[in-house]
Amino acid sequence: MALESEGGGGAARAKRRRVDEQGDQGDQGKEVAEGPEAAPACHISALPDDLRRRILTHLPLKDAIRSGALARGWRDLWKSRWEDPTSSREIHLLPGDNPRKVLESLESVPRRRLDRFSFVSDKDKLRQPHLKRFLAYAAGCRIEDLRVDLSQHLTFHLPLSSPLLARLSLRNVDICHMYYKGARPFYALESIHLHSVRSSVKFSKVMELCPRLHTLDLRRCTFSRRMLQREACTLLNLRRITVAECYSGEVLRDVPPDLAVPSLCSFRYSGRFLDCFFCLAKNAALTDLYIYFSDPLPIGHLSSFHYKFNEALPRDLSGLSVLTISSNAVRMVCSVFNMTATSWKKGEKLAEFERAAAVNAWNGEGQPS
Amino acid sequence: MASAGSGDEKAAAAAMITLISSDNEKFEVTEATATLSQTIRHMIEDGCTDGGVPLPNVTSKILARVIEYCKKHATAAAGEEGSSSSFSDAAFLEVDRAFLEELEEFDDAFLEVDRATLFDLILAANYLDIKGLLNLTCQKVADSVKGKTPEQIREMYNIVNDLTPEEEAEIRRETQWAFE
Repeated sequence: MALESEGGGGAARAKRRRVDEQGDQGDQGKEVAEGPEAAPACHISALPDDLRRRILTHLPLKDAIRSGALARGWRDLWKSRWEDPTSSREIHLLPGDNPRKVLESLESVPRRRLDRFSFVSDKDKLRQPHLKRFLAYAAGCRIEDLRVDLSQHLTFHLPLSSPLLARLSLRNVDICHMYYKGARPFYALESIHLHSVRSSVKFSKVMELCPRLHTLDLRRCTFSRRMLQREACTLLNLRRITVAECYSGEVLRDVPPDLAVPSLCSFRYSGRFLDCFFCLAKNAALTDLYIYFSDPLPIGHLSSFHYKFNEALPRDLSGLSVLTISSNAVRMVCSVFNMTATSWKKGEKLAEFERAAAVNAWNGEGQPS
Repeated sequence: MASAGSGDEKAAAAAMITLISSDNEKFEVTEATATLSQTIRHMIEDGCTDGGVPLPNVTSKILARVIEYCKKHATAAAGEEGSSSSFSDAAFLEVDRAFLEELEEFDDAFLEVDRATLFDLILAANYLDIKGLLNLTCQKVADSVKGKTPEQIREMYNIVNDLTPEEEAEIRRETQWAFE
């Protein structure tokens, strides 16, 4: 209750006050919304649902979704903006299903605009051409949010004609070439989530095609090339990176994967200590840092690890609002601070850690959520 | 000039329609102008426009604006049709582009209205089923909220947030990527 009065409730009251000061346009709008059109109804929320849905069809998916947080009357409206009751299509193939029949029934009706297409297959033997047809169907519906989850590894190509795609989420697929030759940049793509994806693709190539990417979330992925290395510093817009339980074919020893992204505000790493030598931009203004090492730290050569660890962090951590760190990583941090042989400003850094609004020192198993 | 004149005469010869607003004001328009509205087109087809078309959902102020829009767009449509036969292709394209530019300018100026009027125009365009006007006005509202946070939009349109903090947090969690 106390929370409510300090938080949203208070904000709502403040807003109502502001409304009153501006003149009673809003309230007036509400009153006449009941009547038959006589006086000006200027409250956008007073428009009938189908007209508000129509307004939402003129927006990119991301903006449409945001409208759901305006007020109760807006909550799920965006979900049906293209098609009532829902503008998202979910295909779930079970082991006994015939993908060809599903495709035929999909393709037999004219394509409509969709927001989201989710394709989940539990079939053991889905064939590559079928997957390609499902993806082509999705692209034809000009989807903005694509999810593909397979039970076996197939090669995924991003359909060429996806100019509106804003979010891509893949699970259990292989990426050799994420795009066909001659692909134009995916200007709308902002968020990529990969889970159990095997990739031999040079990630920087993919990144070049996604100039507006700001969230990269990688979990249990296997990369046969070092994927986030020097080229990645061209990713000027990346704001959030999560790397969890990922394995790289090459041991990342001397060349750190260089995540030198100045715009970065959230970095989350969970996985083997030896895989982790990330290197964040020295001038990144992190607000969220998460580090979890799943294995015990190597006993020998600790001081060189300390050095690298410290080098990997941005210079100024005073902007941190959430720091989550596993107990072995805490030890690492602390020993970095306690080393006397170096000239680092260790006291300062520790103080910065302590200033973080929420520090979760943490022992358990798990991944960033 | 000659073709435009004959077009008007033809329309006038065809029929004039009387539209009656909710506050009982009468507007005389050509059939070409009136039939931009699918609702009125159907009424004309059903032959029930004698004695005027009552529009109880539209005020005279809004109806005047809607007619202004329809007149302009009906002229543009008639102009395009007329010109296609009498000009060479290149000249036709030139005229076509000039028309489109002029129309765009008209639309921009037309949308320079306060929000209450804009919403009334949306309601009227929907009721009268005027596709072009409905798209135009909805696009205008959409453009005004594009790229804004929910807080900014609430402020802009005086929307009172009646979600509890828990509900709002839940909504943001559901599709977190859109709020990042």
